[in-house]
Amino acid sequence: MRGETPDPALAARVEALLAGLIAANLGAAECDRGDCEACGRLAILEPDEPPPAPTPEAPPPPAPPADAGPAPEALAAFAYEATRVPGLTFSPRNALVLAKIRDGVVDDPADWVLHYKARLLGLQSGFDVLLSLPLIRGVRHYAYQVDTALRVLRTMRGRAILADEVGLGKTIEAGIVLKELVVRGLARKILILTPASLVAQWREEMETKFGLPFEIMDEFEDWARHDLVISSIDTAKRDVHREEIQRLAYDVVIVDEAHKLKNRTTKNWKLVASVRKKYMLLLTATPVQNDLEELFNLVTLLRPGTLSSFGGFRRRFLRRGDPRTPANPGELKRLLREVMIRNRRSTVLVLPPRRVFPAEIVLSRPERKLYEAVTDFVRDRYPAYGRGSTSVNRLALIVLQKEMGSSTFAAAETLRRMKESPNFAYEDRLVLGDLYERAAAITENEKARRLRELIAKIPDKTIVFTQYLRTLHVLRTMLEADGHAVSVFHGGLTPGEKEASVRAFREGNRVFLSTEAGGEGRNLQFCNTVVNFDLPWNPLKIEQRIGRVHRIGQTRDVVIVNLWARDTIEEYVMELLDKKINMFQLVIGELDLVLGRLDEAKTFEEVLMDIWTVKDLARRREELQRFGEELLAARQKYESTKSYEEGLFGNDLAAEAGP
Amino acid sequence: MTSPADLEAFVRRYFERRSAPLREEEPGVFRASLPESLRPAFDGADAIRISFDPGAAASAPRVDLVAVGSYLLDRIVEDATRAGWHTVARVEAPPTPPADVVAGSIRPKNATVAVDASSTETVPHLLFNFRVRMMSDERVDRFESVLVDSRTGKERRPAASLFEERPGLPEDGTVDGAGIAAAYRSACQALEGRIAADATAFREQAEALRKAEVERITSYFDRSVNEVLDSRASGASEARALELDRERRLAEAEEKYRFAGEVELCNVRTVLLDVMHADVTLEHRGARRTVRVEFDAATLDVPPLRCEVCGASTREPVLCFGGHLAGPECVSACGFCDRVHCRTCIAVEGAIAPCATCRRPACPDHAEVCALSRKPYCPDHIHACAICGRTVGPEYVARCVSCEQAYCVVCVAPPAERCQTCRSLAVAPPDDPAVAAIRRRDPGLAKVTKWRRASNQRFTVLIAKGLVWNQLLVTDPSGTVVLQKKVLGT
Repeated sequence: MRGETPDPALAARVEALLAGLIAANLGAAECDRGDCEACGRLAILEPDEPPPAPTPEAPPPPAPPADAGPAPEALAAFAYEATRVPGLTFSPRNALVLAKIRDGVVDDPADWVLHYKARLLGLQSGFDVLLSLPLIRGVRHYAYQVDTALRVLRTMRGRAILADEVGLGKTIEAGIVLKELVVRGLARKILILTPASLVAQWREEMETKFGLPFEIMDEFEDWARHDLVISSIDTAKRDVHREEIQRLAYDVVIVDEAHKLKNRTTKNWKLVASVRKKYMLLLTATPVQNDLEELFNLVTLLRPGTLSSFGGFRRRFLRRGDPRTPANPGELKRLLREVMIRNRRSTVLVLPPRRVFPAEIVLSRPERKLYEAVTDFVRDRYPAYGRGSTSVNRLALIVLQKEMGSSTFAAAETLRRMKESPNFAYEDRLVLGDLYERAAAITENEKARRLRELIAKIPDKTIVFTQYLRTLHVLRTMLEADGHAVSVFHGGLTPGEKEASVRAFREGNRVFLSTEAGGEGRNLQFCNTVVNFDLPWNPLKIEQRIGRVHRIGQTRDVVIVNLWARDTIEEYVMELLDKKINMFQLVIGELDLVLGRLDEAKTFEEVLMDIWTVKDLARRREELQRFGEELLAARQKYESTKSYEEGLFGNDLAAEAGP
Repeated sequence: MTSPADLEAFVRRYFERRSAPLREEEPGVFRASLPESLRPAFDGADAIRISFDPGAAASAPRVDLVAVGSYLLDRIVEDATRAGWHTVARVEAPPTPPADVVAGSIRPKNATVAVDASSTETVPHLLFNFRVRMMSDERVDRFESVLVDSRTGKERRPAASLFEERPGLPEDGTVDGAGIAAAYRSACQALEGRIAADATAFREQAEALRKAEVERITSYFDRSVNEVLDSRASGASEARALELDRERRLAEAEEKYRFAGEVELCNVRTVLLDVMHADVTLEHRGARRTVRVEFDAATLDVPPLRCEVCGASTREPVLCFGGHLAGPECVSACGFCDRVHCRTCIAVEGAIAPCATCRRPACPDHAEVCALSRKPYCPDHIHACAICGRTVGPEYVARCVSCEQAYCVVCVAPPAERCQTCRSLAVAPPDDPAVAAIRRRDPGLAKVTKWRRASNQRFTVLIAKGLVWNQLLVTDPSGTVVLQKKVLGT
C-alpha cells in the first residue's frame, strides 16, 4: 500500500476518527513508520506493543473496597506468596480487604453474610454440568446437543469439528459451547467467521438465544475494540483486516460452513490457521465433498498431527488412484472421533413425513388484468433501474411484484406510495397512479376465497403464512367473518402480545395468521397444517415456515398447502422448487446445502427476478429451464456428497458414541 | 455447583435486605423492587419481574431469569459484594459444664476421665473466606473458610453459626495490623495445605495435556517440513512458513494449558470467641495422666488427643501403664493380665514382650527370659529345670532317657543322656522314708532290700534292685509315683 494513492473516502474517515480521538485526548501520535495502509501517513493509533494476550478470567471480581487507598508499602505487610503450590498466587487485592480491617471498618453482619453467600454462587468444578442451559432462551435444546457440548468441552478440550447432518442445530451446539465458556470465564474474546450471507443471522441468534451481543466487523479499527465479533470470512481475509486479526489473540474462534476451508493452500485456510486461539469450533454438515484430503486439511487446521503429516496421511489412508475411499476406514474413524462429532438425523430425530398439496388458483379477471399490467410495468422498468440512485426504484419494483403475488390489497398501498415518490419519473408516476386506482378498486381475492374454502374443510388447527401485513389484516377480517377464532402474529406486536397470540392459538383458536416474524423461533408443532398463502422468493424462508411445525415434537404427518396463481411468478417458484428439486420433501437445512452448490453469484431472488423480467416468453421459458437444470444438478451433487459421507462416517462419530 | 434452592434463598434475602421482599405476581414470576444501586443496570427501572424458573422466564413477558451466569444475577452479585468486607461477631461460652463436653469427646479405652479444673477466656479469631480459582483450559473453583486464633495462629474449625448474621456485634475489631497480617499468613498456609493435593493434580493434568499437544504439534511440523523439503526444490520458503506456523501453534498450546491459580480473599469476620481450657485427668490402676484441652464456644469441639507415639489424633486414647497416651494402634496389652503399654515403653523398657514360641504378649509379670538363649517366654512356654533351677525355653529342654523327666540341657548331659539326678543315684537304706513309702504301697517291692536313691527339687528317683530286672520309680514331692518302669539290672 505504501506509495499508492489512498482512497480519499477512507482517508477522510481515518482523519475524522483521529480528530475525534485526539479531541478526546486518547492519542495523537504521528505515525513514525509511515506504513498506514489507509492513508500512508498516520498510524491508526496502533500501540507499539500488541496488547497482552487476554487471559480468560472469571467474571471480574468485585471491586475492592471503594476507599481502598493505602500506599503500596502499607499493604506490603499483607502480602503472601504461595510456598506449597507452584503457580498459585494470592491476589494483591487481598491486601486491600485486610487494610479495611486494620483501619477499623466494620460492616453490617447482614451485608457480610450477603457478600459471603454471593461469593459461594457459581463455584465450578470442571465441566461437570452445563451452567449455560438455563440461560439459553427461545430455543429448545436436545439431549444430543447437550451431549455434544459436553464432549467438546470435556474430551475434545474445546476444539472440535461439529459435523452434524443438516437441521440438527450445529449453531445451537456451538452456541451452548460458547455460552458455557463465557459463563465459566474461560472465554472473553471471541471471533465468529461465517459466509457473508449468514453474518446477520449469526449475530441475531447469538444475541437473542444466547444473550451474547456480537458486533459485525466491517471497520478494521473495530477489531481491537470489541470482544465479541462476527465477520464474513471474505471480509476477514482482506489484508487490512487479516493483519489486525492476526495481531490479536482470541479465546474462541468459530467458523461456520467450514467446508470452505477444505483447501490448505487457500487464503481462507491460512487465515483461520494464523489466528491465535485457544478453542476452535468448525461447523460443517459436509466435511468431505470431493476427497479425503479435504478432511485432512480440516482436521489439521483444528489439531495438526491428529492425522499425521500429509505424507503420513497419504500412506496410511489414501488408496492409489482413489482419493475418496480410505484405505484404513476403522483407523480413520478412530482418529476422527478425537476431533469430530457427527450426529445423524436417523439416530437422534424421527420426524413424520410431509405431505404437500399445491393449490393452483386462477385469478379473477380484474386481478389478472392488474397483475399483467403491473408485470408489464416492472418488466419495462426493471432492467433500467439497478445502479446508483435508481437501485431504490429497482427494490420497489421487486417488492411490488412480490406483493402482487400476495394480494392486490398489499400491492395497492405500495402503488400509492410509488405514485407519489419523486424517485420515479413523471410518466412512471402517471402509470403507477392508474395501477393504484385499479388495485384499490379490487375488493375480491381469489386466493382468499380458496383459503376460506380450505379452512372450512381442514378440521385441525391451521397456520397461514403471508409475507405482508396488509394481506394478513384482510385475511383476518374474512376468516373472523366466517366464524373462525384467529390468532395473528407479526413483527408489530410486543413480546407479550406475541406470547399471548401463540398461547391463544395453542389453547383454542383455529387459525394462526402470521407474517415472516412467526417463522423464526416459535414452536408450533402442536399444529400440523401450514398454508403458504403466498410464496416467498427466498426458498429458505419457505423452509423456515415449514420448520415451525416439522420439528422434534411433531407426531403427525405435516400437511403443506401452497397457494399459487397460474401465469404468475409464483408458478415459476413452484416449478423450480417443487417440481425440479422437490424442495418440500427436503429436510430442514438441506435446501441451504443444495443452493450452496449453485455456481451462481446472484441470490435465488435475483435470478428469479432476472428471469421473470425477460420480455420474450420463449426466452423466459428457456432461462427458467436452464436455471431449473442448474438447481437439479446442485441437488444431485448434494445427494452424491451425502451418500459418500454416510459411507465414510456412518454412525460412529455421534456424540453418544463416546471418545 | 450452586443448588437452585441456595440460589433462590440468596436472591430473596438480597432483595429483602436491599429493597423489599419479592412479591409473586404469577406462578413462578416475582416482582422485585430494585435498590438504587442496581437501577442504572436496568435503565433506571425501579422494579423488574424476575423468575428462578427458566420455563417461566421464557414464556412470561419481560421477565429476567435468575440463574448462574445470567445478567441479573451477575449484577446482584456485583452489588452484594460492594459491602460486607468485614464484620465482628461474639460467641459466648454455653452453659454446658465442661465435664460434659469433655466426656462426650474423649472416651479412653481403659481409663476414667475427670475434669480437674477449667477456665474460660475470650480470644479474638479471624475468619477468612477465600475463593480459589484454578484454571488451565478448564476451571475449578473452591471456597475455603479458615478460622485462625489471632494470638497463636492456630487454625480452628469454623462453626456454621459463624457464617450467620445472628452473632454480629457493632464492635471494633480487636486485632491490630500485625496480628491481622500474622493471622492472614497462618490462614494462607492452612489454605495451601488444604488445596495442595487438588491443585497439584489439576496442574499435572494440564501439564500432561500440554505435553501431549506439544509433542503432536512438533511431530507434525517436523515431518511436514521434511516432506516439503524432500518433495520440492522450492520447498524452503514453504518450510519456513511451516516453521512459523509451528511456533504459533506451540504458543497456543502453552497458553491454553498454562496453569494459573488465584486465591482471592472475599471477606473477613473477627470473631470474639470464648475458649475454654480444662485439665482432664485420665486414670486407672497402673497410671494417672493429666492433659490440658481447649475448645471453643462455637463448636464445643474438643480436639482429639494426640497419640504420643505416632502423633495421630484419637478420640479413644489408651492410657499406658507407663503413663503415656496412645492410640489403639500404638499399644500392646499383656495376654495374661490388663496391663497395657505403648510402643515407646515397649521400645525403651521392653515392657511387653512377645513369647518367643507363641508370640503372645506378656508383661514383666508374666514373661520369663530363658537363661540360656535370653529369649522371653510366656508362662505357658517357659520351663524351670528341677535340678539346677534355671528357666529355659522349650529349645533348651531335654528329657532324661532314664527317668524320662524334662530338665534343662545342661542337666541332661551327653553322652549317656541321663540327668544329673539319675547320674547321682546312691545306695539308700530300706528305712529311707521315700523307700519305706514305696515298700508300703507296693507289696511287690516290699521284699526288695537293695535300693538306690537320688532327689532334685521336684522328683525323687528310686531304683529297686532285682535279680535280673530292676524297677525304676520317680515320685513327685507328694510321693506320688509319676513313673515306674522295669530296667535291666547291672
